[in-house]
Amino acid sequence: MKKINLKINSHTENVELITECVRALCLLTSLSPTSVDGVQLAVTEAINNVIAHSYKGESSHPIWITISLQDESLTMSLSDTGVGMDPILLEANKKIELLDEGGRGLFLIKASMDKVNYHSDAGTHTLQMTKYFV
Amino acid sequence: MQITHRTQNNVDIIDFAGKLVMGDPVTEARKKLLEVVEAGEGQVVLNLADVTFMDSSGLSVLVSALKATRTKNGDVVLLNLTVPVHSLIKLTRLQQVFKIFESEAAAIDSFKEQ
Repeated sequence: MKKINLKINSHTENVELITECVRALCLLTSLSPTSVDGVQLAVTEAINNVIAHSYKGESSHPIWITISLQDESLTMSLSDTGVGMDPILLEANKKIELLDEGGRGLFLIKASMDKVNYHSDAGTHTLQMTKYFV
Repeated sequence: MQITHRTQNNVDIIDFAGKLVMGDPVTEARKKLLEVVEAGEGQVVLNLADVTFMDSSGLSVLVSALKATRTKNGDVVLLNLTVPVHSLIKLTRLQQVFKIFESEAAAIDSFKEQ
C-alpha cells in the first residue's frame, strides 16, 4: 500500500493544495475522469466541513489528511481536533430541497465515494472515505 | 476567481473563470451577482465555460442568485457548463430549476419567451 500524509491549517486558501494533490494521485489509478472529479469534490466538501463546522471558520487549526492507494481502492482519511460532527448526520438521509442554499456537503461526499465512515477518539475526529476502482 | 459583467438586450451576462469554491471566490461571486441582480432587470446569464471546479458553496451562490432574480420575476440561466460542473448540477438535481444552454444567443433569447 502506498500512503502519503499531508497537513494544512484550516484556512480556505489551503483547501486547493490538498484537492490538487488528491487529483494528481488519482491519475496514478484507473479511476475514470468522472470518478476523479467526484473524489476531488468529496475531499473538498470534507475539508470545507471541517473548516466551517468543526473549527467554526477559524483558520489556524490543523487538518491531517492521509491518502492511501491500494490495488483496488483509494482511501482518504481527514482528521481534526475541533468540535467534530454528530455521526448521526452521516447516517441520516437529510432531505434537501432544490432551493436550499446549504446542507449539500455530506450528500455530495456520500454520493461521490463508495464507503464513508466517521469516528472520534480522544478529541480527534476522523472522516474516512474510500473509492473503489471497479 | 475572475468575474466579468456585460449586458445585452437588458440581460446581464456574467462570465466566471476559475474555481467557484468556499472562501474568497464564493464571497466575491455572491457579492457581484447580488449587485447585478439588484441593479438590473433580474435577467441573468451565468457563463460558466471557464469554471474548472465548483463545490457546494458555489452551488449556494447560484441558488441565492436565482432566488434574488425571482423576486423581480426574472431568472438565472446557465451557459456552457464544464464537465465537473455539469456533473455537480445533475447530482444535486438542480437542472430542474436552472435552464442550461450551450449557446449564448439562445440563453439571451430565452428571456424573450418569458
